[in-house]
Amino acid sequence: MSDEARLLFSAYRPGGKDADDPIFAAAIEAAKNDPVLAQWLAEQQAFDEAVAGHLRAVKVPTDLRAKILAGAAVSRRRAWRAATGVWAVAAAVALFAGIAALWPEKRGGLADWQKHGLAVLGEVLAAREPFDLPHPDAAALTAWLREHAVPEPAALDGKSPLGCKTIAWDGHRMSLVCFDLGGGVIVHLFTTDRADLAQVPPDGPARFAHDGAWTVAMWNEGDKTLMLATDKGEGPLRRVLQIAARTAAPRGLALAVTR
Amino acid sequence: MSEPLPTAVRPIDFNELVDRYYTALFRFALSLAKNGSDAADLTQQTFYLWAAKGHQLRDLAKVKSWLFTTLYREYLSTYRHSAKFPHVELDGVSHEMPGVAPSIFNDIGGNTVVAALAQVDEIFRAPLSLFYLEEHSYQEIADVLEIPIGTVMSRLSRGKAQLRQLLLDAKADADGKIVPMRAAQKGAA
Repeated sequence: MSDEARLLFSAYRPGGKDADDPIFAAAIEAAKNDPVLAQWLAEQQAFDEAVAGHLRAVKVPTDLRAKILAGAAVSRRRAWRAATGVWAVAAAVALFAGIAALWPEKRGGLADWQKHGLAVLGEVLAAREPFDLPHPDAAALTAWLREHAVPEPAALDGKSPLGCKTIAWDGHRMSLVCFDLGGGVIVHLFTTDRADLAQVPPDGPARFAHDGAWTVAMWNEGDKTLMLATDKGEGPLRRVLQIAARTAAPRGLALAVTR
Repeated sequence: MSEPLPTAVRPIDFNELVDRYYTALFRFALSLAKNGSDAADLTQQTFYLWAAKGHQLRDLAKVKSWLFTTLYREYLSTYRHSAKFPHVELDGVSHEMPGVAPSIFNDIGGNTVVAALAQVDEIFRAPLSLFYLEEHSYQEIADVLEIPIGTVMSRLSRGKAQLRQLLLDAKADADGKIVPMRAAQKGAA
């Protein structure tokens, strides 16, 4: 009996909801020709349906819905008042500092998605989280990111990447690609869809910010927003960006020629 | 007569959102927190956060994932101090599933099943609960828990094995039989 098929079927929901998912196609086909596997699957589906039925029968507190609606009404009023205050300050600052001041500067100048990305990066560097695809070939990483519909940099070429990872945040996804620039310098490129951001950074030159040991540069490229991070200060980031400016290449491509 | 707007661009009605998801969110929270009071708090807090900032989300199709992810993060930050689970490698997955005849569900009640689920190791319990809520595909579970797809599958496989063993134990207890302690269960991670 195929261990791989059984592993896949562990994620196969009862009721045929996943019947059209191509990831299960080979395992389903295998079960048609393998009576032992078919029996195993049938038994598991019966077990899963029974457990799911019991879980669905768990009673929910009768007053929970009313409490949620009441509590949320309060939170919406608070959020509106808070937002009004923030935007009043932002508007006043913008009179003197220009529109760039609208970029969220809270807590060290990084938005939530950026802080979350750096937190996950910390887990990767501490070997508590793996790359989804550890690979030294940028073409392989590009293909993987496209296959999994993860936001990718406009251009990703060269021979210095270490690997890539998908990071989920607030229902969205961003990609992380790490590059070894040599000399002990590693830079980390985060890419997310601009449309997913509640507050989009202003177009124009990359902006720098610091968060703990991290130095980051952030900018927009087409429909993407990118963040380049390193723990080696602004130098390596400026080097990448200067080369990008000289070659007029997308900054993702510049990573390949910086080394 | 105007055509109804596609789901993805229709304004998100908060009451509709609550009606659609609050029971599943509560059951997910209950499986994590193991008591109804904390589960209700987690569920309320999740919608509170939605009301406060969820409106920033522009794609209705991503609302479900946002809600479950937010609840899970709230659980991790409020009820647990460790923000990340250890990663389970595919190579280490065992497919040993104790056989459980479907008739076992005739002998044990729904409360026993839910109690057994609550005893499954936490690392497996979260994906298992999302799976049995039938709201989530493996891909959605990966997104909610922010773990790779392969890890979802391995945790589901191991979690189901634990759950089956726990149900067999519960059945044996109910039958008055002596059940040997299972050291392997705790070391499954």
